Amino acid sequence: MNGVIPIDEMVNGQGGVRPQWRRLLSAISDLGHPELLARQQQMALALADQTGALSSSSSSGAREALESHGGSGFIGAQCDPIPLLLKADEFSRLEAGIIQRARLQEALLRDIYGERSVLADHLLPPALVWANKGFLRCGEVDALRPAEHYFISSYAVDLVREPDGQWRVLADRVRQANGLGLALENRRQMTRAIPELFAGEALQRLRSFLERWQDSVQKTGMGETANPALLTPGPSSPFWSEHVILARELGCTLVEAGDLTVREGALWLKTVRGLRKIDALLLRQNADSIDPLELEGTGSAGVSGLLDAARNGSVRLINDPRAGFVEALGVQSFLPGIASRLFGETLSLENVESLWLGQPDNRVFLEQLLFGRSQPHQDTIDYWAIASAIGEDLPAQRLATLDEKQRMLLWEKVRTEPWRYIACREPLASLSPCVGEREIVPRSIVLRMFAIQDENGWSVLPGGMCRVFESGEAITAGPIGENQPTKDVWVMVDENFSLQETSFSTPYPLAIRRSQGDLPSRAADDFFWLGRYLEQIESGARLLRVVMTHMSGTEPSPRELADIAVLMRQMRTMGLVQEAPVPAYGYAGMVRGLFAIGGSDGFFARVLRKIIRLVPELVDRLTQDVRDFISHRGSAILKMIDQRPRRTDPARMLDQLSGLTNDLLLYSATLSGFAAESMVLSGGRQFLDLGRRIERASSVLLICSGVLEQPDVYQRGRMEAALRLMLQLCDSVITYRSRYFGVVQPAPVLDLLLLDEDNPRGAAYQLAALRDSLTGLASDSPSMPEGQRSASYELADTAENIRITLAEMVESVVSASSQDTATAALPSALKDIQAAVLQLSEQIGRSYFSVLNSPRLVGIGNETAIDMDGAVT
Amino acid sequence: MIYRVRHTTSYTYGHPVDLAAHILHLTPRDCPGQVVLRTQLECNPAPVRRESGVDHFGNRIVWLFHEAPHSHFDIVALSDVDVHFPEPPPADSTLAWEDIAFLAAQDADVSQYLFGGPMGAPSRMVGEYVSRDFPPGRPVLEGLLALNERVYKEFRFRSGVTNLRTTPEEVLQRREGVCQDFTHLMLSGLRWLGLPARYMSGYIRTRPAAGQKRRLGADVSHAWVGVWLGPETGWIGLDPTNGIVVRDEHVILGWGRDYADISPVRGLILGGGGDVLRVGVDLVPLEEWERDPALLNLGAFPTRETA
Repeated sequence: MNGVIPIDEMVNGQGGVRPQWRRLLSAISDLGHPELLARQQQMALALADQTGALSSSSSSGAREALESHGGSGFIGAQCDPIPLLLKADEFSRLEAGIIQRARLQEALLRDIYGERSVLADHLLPPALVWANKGFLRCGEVDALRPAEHYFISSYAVDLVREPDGQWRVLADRVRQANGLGLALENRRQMTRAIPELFAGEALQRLRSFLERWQDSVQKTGMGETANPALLTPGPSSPFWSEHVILARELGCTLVEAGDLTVREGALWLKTVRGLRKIDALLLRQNADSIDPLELEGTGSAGVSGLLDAARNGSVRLINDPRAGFVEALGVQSFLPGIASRLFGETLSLENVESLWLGQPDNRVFLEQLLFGRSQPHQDTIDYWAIASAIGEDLPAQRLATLDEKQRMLLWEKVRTEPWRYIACREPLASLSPCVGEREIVPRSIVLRMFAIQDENGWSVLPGGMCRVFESGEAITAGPIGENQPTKDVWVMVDENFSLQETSFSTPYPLAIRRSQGDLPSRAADDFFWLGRYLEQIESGARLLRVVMTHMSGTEPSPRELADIAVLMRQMRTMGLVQEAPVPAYGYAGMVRGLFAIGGSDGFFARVLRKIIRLVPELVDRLTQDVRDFISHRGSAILKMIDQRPRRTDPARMLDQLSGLTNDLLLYSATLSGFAAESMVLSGGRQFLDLGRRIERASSVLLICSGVLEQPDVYQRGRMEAALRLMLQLCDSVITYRSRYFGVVQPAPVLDLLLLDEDNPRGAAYQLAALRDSLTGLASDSPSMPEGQRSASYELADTAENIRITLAEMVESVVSASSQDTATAALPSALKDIQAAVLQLSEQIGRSYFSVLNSPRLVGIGNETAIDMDGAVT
Repeated sequence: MIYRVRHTTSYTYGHPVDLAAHILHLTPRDCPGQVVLRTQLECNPAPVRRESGVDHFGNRIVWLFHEAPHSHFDIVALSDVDVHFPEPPPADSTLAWEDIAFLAAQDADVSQYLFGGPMGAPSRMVGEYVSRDFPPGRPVLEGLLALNERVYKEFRFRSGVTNLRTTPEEVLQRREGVCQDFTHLMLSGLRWLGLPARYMSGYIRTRPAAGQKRRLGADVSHAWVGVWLGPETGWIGLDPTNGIVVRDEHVILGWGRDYADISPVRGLILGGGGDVLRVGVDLVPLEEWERDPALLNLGAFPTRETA
């Protein structure tokens, strides 16, 4: 292949622009390079906002980095503004090839998991079957005829065009077939960001393909509306954006394994209102870990019993987890023979050249490549890479990058288990124009195309997703890189092509649903913690603000010092500091201590990061406004924290802290407002509120007990100061003053802070709200199982009982002969009540989220001793 | 010989288990040399869902699903099995081991046992240990018997020093272990040579010492190696723990590539903690069983009238 140059998609061999590109090229040059770059950024941002991808990045302020760095420094998926063009006749050739290949894979799977004639007829070597990582050994139930189903419902294939002009297959993708979501999203972003390019172009639309798939996913075998879900490993997956987009496009609930449970042979989604049945599950998680009960391995990830549910037909798995078998590169190299035997057909889309090392001749070839003095044929080591032949997740090794020792090592491995490896020639992929930093540059491309199978047969997406490789980057069968640029793929409409009327069955009418009853328990848990974190920020900021008002003078009086000592202890109790700065360190020392709270490792930064981390998990349950506010505003505050000077004079430090507390209070308050105004109660706000109420009740009780826990507090003077401090910390000074003017006495203060159900800053308000909300959860949910309903009522009772205990406590102070003495004795009772509130929080967790616990695997190596010996002698 | 075998598995959980799913390999299968006359499997508490079927290797399996909190879980499997594994052909008349390796690779079913499962990574060290018994051209059974004998002589039976994570290499270095370790060791070495081999799970008959009474539940699960002698003879069993060829004192439950394929009780439980597991096996010739009141008391198949 030396001296051969790759094909250019846009320019022909004589340097002329191919006809189908002319119109597009002139539109591109009209726009100009700077404008193309700007549109590209616009698309990247829009894409990131779609999926919460940016929100997951921490304090570094990803969005700002993106905006300030011009063309470079992109984060997450980005779409090149210049699409790849496919002529109509070229697409129809590819379409036929893809359908043939997909049909062949389906037939091969049917054979492998059935009579295995390909093995008996020696069309496939045993190693590629038995050692194939995609070959799953599942059980079969007696007398259960497997339901008529497809192994492959959704299929994707990676293609490269080699210098001879032929498209060849780099890899088949059936386990996950990622990228369809991205293909749809790329098209949407392109039409939005660069509508100029589309003017006058006749290209095929993607919609009807998607509708067809939606249709097949969303109805059950019985013809009823199905409840489909998409199983993702979660936001840590490199394909998270893809999963979010695809779930949205297909109308699936996005779920993680922990959200699901199998009961009585059916698959259920765990929601806060009980279990909701799932009829179809799109697998976007490794197939070998979807059911720990039956599949190899000793982990407990996955959904135990899922295969049992699939076997008895109550849930459809898309694709069948066993389909991954055909992805093994070793199997692909035997497809031509299998096609001719099973179909009597010639395989029209061939693989790129690869040599399975289970065959002795191929090993000789490899040995020559690795150690030979004279290179055989025209081959040089530069073009070859070694990959797994049996579908192991190993990165391909490019031979050219190996030194002498590494080659020996590789050769030793190959000789030991030759059937595990395959040598692949790196394709000389075609080039397509891309928007580079300074100009338009040609880059190697790999085209991914998609097909689906339903009862009407196969259909191929008239479009696709094109991956762009940097020059010199290895083009191997590996999955799409995390930050790899992609392209939209345009299939031109033939002049003779008449738009077909796509006649799809009309959608089934949906039953009216008022509440989003299927809030998964995990999402509810996340909302609950979002509520608690927001309140932690608020009460922390409030405390810090009060502390600062006490530090206005450099020479505090003894009385002020006593207050400061109480406040410092309180900061430790609330978790703002590990060790309270002791007043004796002097004014400057205390200011430094406070300043650290607002630092990069301080309390607020930690809680803010936790809040921002929750956003991707909730991406499909928060409106864009709320999402943007939480992550962008939160990141902005974090950036401010990161960028402030380490040290400055005390006055500046206090200024900055006071700015920070204001920002934090505003952040928390704005989010509350957003939630109240724009979130449906049952869509998660209910749990956000529960979290807030729990945290606030707890902090009011901690404030009261903490402030009262000081020496000599029963003395009138100290008591009055303590009560004032309590009012300040609970943000109830104004309310109190409006009722009692300047007179501060224990009973009225305690009444306002602990007993008055109308004071939103007091404990009783929180407890009453908890009671009502928990009652509401139980009574609004006809589908909730009886056990959970009664548990919910019990929780409401618990909240009410805590409130009553509190009320009795305050009554006892009112009727005491000396209110001061009675009040001074309260801290231990208050602490007990605070503990009861936290216990209620745990009970809420157990009742609504406990289903999140993960099971344990037994009987397979987890016990240390083996219970067998069996020696006769 | 007809045996009755009773295998009890009993979990006591320190904390209640809320959800449990189990796959059991506790029902013997039919195969050449073995006929299962009758078999039943009971468990307590009763499951909400129970299925029976076969696994990939054709072994009998039962799925049990529990969805109510329970603090104990008992399984009793009771089977009558007629075993008589034919005597293997004279060792010197068997094919050379290289021929067996070649034939195995051509066979659509046998070829699967050339490849290890999750528990046995191939090891040069073990391969070299085993290959000493397989000089070029040696009749396969001669080599296999020599190996079986060598493992029996050179390894000490000792329980408690190994566990399910112990590799064949470690066993080779320690020169001690239990039946499972010796089996995994031989599997690993034979496959290194390119010979098919499978993990056999089942039971072996034990006899009380002279003058002693039989202790109930004192028998145990057992493991040995299945080896292939070519398409005519098929599979035979070698028991390295006892240095014998399997004839009529073993009962087969099933087989796989290694223990992981055929663990008798594999499950996922939600809850529990501080679990105590008790396993008891009685393997007694049926005749003897029916004369022994203590055994009869333990378990008999219900007759038609009482069932």
